Amino acid sequence: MPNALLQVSHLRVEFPTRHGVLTAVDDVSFDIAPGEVLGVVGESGAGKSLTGNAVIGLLEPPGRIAGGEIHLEGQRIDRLPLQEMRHVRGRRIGSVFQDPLTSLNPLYTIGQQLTETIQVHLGLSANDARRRAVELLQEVGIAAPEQRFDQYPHEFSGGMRQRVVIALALCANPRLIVADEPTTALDVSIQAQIIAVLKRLTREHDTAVMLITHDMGVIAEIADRVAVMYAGRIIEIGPTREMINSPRHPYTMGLMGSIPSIKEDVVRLVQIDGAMPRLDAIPAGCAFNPRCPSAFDRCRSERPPLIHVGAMGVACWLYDSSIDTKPNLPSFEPVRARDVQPTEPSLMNIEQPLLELRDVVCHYDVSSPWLNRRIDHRPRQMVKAVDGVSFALRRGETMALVGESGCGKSTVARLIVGLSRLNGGTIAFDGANFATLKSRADWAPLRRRMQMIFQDPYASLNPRWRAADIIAEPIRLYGLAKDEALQRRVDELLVHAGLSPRDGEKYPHEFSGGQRQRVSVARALAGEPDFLICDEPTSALAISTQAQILNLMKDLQERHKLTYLFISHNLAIVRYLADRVAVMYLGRIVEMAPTATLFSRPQHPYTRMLLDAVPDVEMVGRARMPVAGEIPNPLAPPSGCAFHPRCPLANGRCKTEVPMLKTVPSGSDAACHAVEEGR
Amino acid sequence: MNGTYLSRITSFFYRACNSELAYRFRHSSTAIVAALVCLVCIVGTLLAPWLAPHHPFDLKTLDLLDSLLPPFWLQDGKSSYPLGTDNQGRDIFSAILYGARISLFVGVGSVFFSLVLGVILGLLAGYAGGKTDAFIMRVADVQLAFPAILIALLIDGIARLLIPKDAQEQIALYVLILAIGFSGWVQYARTVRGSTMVEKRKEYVQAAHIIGRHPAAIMFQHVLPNVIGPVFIIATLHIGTAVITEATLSYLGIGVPPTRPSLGMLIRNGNDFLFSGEWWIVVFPGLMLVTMVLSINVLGNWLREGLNPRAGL
Repeated sequence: MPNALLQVSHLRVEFPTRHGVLTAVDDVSFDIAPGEVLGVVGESGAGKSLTGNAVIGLLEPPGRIAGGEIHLEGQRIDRLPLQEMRHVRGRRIGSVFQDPLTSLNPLYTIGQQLTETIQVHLGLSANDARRRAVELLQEVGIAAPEQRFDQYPHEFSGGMRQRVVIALALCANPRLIVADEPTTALDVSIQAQIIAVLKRLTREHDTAVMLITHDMGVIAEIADRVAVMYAGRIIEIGPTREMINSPRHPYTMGLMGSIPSIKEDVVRLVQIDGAMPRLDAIPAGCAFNPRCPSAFDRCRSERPPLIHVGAMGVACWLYDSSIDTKPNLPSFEPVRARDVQPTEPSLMNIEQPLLELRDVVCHYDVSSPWLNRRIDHRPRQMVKAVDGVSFALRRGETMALVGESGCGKSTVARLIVGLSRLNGGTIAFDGANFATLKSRADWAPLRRRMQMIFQDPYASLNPRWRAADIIAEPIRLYGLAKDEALQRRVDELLVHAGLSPRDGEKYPHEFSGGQRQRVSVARALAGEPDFLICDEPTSALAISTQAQILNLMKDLQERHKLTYLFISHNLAIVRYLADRVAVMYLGRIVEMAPTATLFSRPQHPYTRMLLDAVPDVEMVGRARMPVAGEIPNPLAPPSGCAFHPRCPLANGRCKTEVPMLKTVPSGSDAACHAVEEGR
Repeated sequence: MNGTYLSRITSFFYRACNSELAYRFRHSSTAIVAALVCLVCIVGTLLAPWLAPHHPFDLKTLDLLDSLLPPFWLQDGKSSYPLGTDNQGRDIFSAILYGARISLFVGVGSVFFSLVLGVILGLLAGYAGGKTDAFIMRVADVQLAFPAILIALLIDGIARLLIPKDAQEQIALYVLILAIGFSGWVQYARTVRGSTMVEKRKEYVQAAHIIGRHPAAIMFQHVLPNVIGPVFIIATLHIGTAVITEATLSYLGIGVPPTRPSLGMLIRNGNDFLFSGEWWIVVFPGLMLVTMVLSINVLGNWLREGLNPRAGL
């Protein structure tokens, strides 16, 4: 591309360590045309962020550019002295990072931060700079920018802060913005707003964007072209639409099939076995060859160059026309619901639910200490984390609790396993009311039947224990097996969770994220429970690993007749796993329905908004419904229906009267006056 | 089972030798020198009965004719008393070896005592929280308001009142350990409490809770191994302080009994001769004290830096 804005050729980033030099980015070349949005996707550790940091000259030592060239508008920028690079950054390349909390200096007002940047790069007078800053705030969608100009970052919500960061990146009219996971730390509804802002502004300003993310949905919506990275290399690059509709590289094909879809019922996701190699153990030849079902001799010995197939560049020997005999392309198609015979729903006993929650309430005391309250004359402050939640779980079913952060879904889980104290209502497990369980001894029989899988695979395993000891802990405690039998049982559990018995000797840090989550699963199964609570079990995992864990959970449910309570903010995963879904908003269930009904005929305006907000692979080039507002402060929830300030259908009744869950004609239960009245 | 234990021990040593820490150690000359000096001091004091040319506290072997001899390289010096003698004819070199032995014993013993006390109280405060936490930490705050040496003096004084005179000789050393130990538990408790509060929120602790483990089991088997690391660093640094505290107390005359003089006691004795020209009686024990404490502190500081992943290398 002769008039490319950014030209990266044969970029190589290395990390010297005492075990030798690790190559984190290896021979990466791509161009970005003026005004173009290039998405860079890959699992964590694929080198996508490092590539972005290399472009803006912010590689953290000891990382260094060891080879290749980076040209911006024809000028070579990878060798610029620090002083000159500072002028390139901000003036010609803007950057947006993942965490809006740390990208702004908490000690300066956002106005100061904006005007400073404008003055440094554009040399405007103080007054002009202020005018420009206010304009920018307006552009990124901050209401009443004049007033908010003098506020500090902590007075802004996460979504608003990210808007300010975008304004900062744009303020010197750069030709290129490097955005590293700009929406990852945000809630779904906020994420949609930020994507919309980014999309509109870059169009209006004709700014090119290098968008780094692990979320194919975000890419589908905003990017013109995509580069897929794997183990430090670009393995496929091309137009977004083509990449999504007909991926060429086996890895991309598998990746596309392993993303749960919100639009479609999938019975089984594609699973690429294994994990991305660590930097110190990248295999010879094609880095993907150990996981590729179609790998042949050449893949193991020689690294494939980018081969042009139509508009795409694919680094895969399967597309090399000079090789005569080569295996067929692997088939990576998820099993779709319409392709299989629908099985009869198993007879679930409704009369005797396994778990029943009735009007469950949990309040957290967040007030300041006693003395401070006396001095400031402030009352106690309570957050109603869970405010009257009722549902019942049938044996063998999977129920999902969905909602954005702070809606109380995790608190419900903590209440069920006894990590938080109940402030009202009753919880009964298999007929045993928790209120009647006083001592540890009373709890003991329940403990064994109820286990939990946590979100963070790094924090959920004791770093000082071997995997075998972690899994053996419940077995020892319940006295289920001893000595040899214990060893056999641990090995068996490891195998069930998709690990090998030899992995028992390892410590948690020796596992990858997905493997760690498998150890967690094995531990949860060790006591032979019949009920598992899964609190966002895959949200910290890479996409291909996520599919492995989700499939594993499906298999285990079948084999061990498990009942799941699945907690997630990801609606696509919920559609894949759950039989029933309850949507929570500010401590209450606003809609509860069988999965198929919820996704085909959502009732509550909040559910509809959530479904609209999810970035999806199918969204290529399409516009989306704008999503209004943010989650209110849980300390001062709105009166009446908590959703009314964001609801397009709200009227006077919604502001005063709290709606109750009622069964509506579609078969769902919804707590909404508008739905009830047919507004 | 024995085989697996053996393999676990060998694999532990293998990992220890290949760890980041070992690597940094091999590449830091400061650490190596400090460790060597430490090692020489410790081996010297442990083997004092075999290394010392004389037994300085055996009155029968003392000869007043040999009193106040200067070090061997000076005029009148004797090679059998390499660092000279004191007013009773005791060999300074041997006295230092035996004295350092007592100093180190008191130092290590008191640090061990405050470590155990502080870690247990800190774990309890951090894990239980609420009123237990408030109580333990307020006691710690009050104690912090007094200088450590004052606390040690107080405990030592009370103990002397309570213990019958004839038993004092034997257990004076242990009273001293207790007194110094009591004055130092606070910083262990604070450190452990802080990291316990962090670990407590982690999901592996919650998982153990959900399984139904007893809180004490969770505290000692799950939380303790994850909070103990920084404690050892503090302890290393603390040994130096404890040795100094012991020397101070002995210098003030309320520490070890005169029959078993520590370094502090030797310095106190030597002090009287400083102005009459017999400098060696005070300077050599003082040098030994400085060398020992300095090497321990340098090693402890290096450990703190070396174990800090943010130190960058």
